[in-house]
Amino acid sequence: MKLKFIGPIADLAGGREIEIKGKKELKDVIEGLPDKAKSVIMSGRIIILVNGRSVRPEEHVELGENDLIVFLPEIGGG
Amino acid sequence: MILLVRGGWTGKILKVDLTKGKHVQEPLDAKMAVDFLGGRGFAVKILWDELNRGVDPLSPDNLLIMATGPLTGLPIPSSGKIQVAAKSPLTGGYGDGNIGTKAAVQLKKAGYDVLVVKGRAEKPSIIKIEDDNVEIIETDLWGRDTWETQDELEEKYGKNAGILLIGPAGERLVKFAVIMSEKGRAGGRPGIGAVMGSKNLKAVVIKGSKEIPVADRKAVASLGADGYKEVKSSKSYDLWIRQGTMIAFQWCQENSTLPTMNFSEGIFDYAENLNGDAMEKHYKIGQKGCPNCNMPCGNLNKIKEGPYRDDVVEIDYENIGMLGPNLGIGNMNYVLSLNLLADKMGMDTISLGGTLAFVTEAYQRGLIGEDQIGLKPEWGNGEKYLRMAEMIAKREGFGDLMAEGTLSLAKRIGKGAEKFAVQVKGLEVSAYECHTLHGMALAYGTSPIGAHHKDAWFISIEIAEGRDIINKEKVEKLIIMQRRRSFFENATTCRLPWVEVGFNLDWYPKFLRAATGLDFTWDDIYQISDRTYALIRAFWVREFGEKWGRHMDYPPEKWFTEPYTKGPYAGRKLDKEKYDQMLSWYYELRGWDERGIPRKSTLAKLGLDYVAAELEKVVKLRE
Repeated sequence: MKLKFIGPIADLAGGREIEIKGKKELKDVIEGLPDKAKSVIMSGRIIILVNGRSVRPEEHVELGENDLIVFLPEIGGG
Repeated sequence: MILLVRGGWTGKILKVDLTKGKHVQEPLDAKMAVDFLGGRGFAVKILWDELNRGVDPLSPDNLLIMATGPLTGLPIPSSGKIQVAAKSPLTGGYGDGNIGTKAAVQLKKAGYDVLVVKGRAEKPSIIKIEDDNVEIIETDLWGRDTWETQDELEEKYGKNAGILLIGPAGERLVKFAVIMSEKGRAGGRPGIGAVMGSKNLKAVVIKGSKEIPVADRKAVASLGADGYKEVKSSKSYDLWIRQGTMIAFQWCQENSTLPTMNFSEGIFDYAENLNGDAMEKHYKIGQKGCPNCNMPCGNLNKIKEGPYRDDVVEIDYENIGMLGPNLGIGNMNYVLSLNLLADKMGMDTISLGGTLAFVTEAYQRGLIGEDQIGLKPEWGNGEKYLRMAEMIAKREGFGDLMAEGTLSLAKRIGKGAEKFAVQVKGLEVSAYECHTLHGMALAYGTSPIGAHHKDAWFISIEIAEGRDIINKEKVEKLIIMQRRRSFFENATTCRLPWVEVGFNLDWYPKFLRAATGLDFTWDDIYQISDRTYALIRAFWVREFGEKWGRHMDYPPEKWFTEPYTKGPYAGRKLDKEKYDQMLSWYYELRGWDERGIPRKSTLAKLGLDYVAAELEKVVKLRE
């Protein structure tokens, strides 16, 4: 699966894109991220899109090899 | 009713008549203060009460209003904002915008909530306000750009003076001229700078020495200090401070909402050259904020090549979106240069980008020719766009027509060109592409000034909850967002602490209580917002009369007819039936009829019976 981080959160996650092999649950994927990234994601101010569908960080979501998970800051648009 | 001021409001309105060369102080009406709070609310109330229907926006009879609110200038997060408003020469309806500037704080310190300017000075002038001392002074700054004018006035009146000014575009009545301050702060997209120019007014300089009255100074200080701490401790703060609104660039590209080549596509091939990361890495040299703000959003960027090499310009997302991908420009230096030129001339960057993009598409479609324009517009060609921007600012050649804005230009061209004019009510759409977003399109359609995002940037909610969902609940959420965001236009303070770093909305009733001594719940605030919206809508309807209809709330036709050809949403466009359904729900929820006109009962409920009586002179109201 591919994780994609939009904006400065990429620096907290350790890269703009991260590839992960095998199947995993979303919460385990988040758990595996660096603490600072995890903390921002769990603050609720990050939108998580799994193949374009919005999910919550605590939601039970099975992720497979070909899934794209995008982490977007919840911005307000000025 | 005279307001017995305990605080928040200063209790005074300053009215300057440039034709007569006179000024007068009037007490702030207590009912107006409580019913409309300030800022935009005051502006529309004064325009409704004092402007006759059909006034030429560029005539001396139009009113230029600069209004603060009960929170403006207080030591609370991001309170350095002022609202500028008038009947718009671009749209013919109500127009406003807010500016973060020392002038906001200084007006309050000089003892005024509102400045109302009418008439026209015989010669180019400035208004100088020093507390009770108000002077109209002839100036030799006419013709100078906004940078030079700011420098000259600062040198003469001091660095702390609050200065609002116009550039050559405002002087030449470019219909999307803005009011500028402090080299980069701009407001009044619907041509409020042109209204100022029509009055021969180059600048307003304000110096105040009074303490802004508040009901409970200790509470204001203590709440403010705690508020600043909360802003800074937000988990989003560090992310925000690096890119400010430029974070939206990559965000929009990822979500296919980046305006590209006159809003034809939602993704741009050269986005990596222009996004927040590119800015941080190659161009950003500093940060700039408004008074009383601890989360500055202004990114100072240095231009590295081209005619403006080594100049510094303050940017945010909307400018870059509209002057970059929307013109097909992938070289950041030219995008920054266009931004700088617009700021120096005092033109709105959003409408400039929209107008140039429209001309390019109209040319490509054979609707206008090189012989008419004077050159061949070309996506991505920064040099040509700089030239065209100069033509607009100077109203030179075809620039004279472009200076009228996209809708007017499209009507002039004819041949169906209106279909490609990306605007609502005559105001060019700001930098969010909506081919897949019915909710955001509705936000543009129902925005009180024409297509602007400040009242409801709905994209984040819409994407998080599902862009394909079309239901009444979505429309309800949009209205709640409009109610909340428009509070900041009235208060008058910046919404960004809330919208960008999650500053809790519960702070604001506390701030209002400490400032004014009055209790405002969020329900009260919603009521004020609804009243303001209804009065703004009534203003539009009074101006347009029988010509008003629900078509005025439609987004650009192009979004319904020209699908995306690229990206994950290729083939998608808005569905007119779905949009119409959402618009009907919107009207129903607001208590407006099927034409988008507030019902009599709605106006009565909001205490606007006097509005109903006058409105009935031009249209038949529904019960």
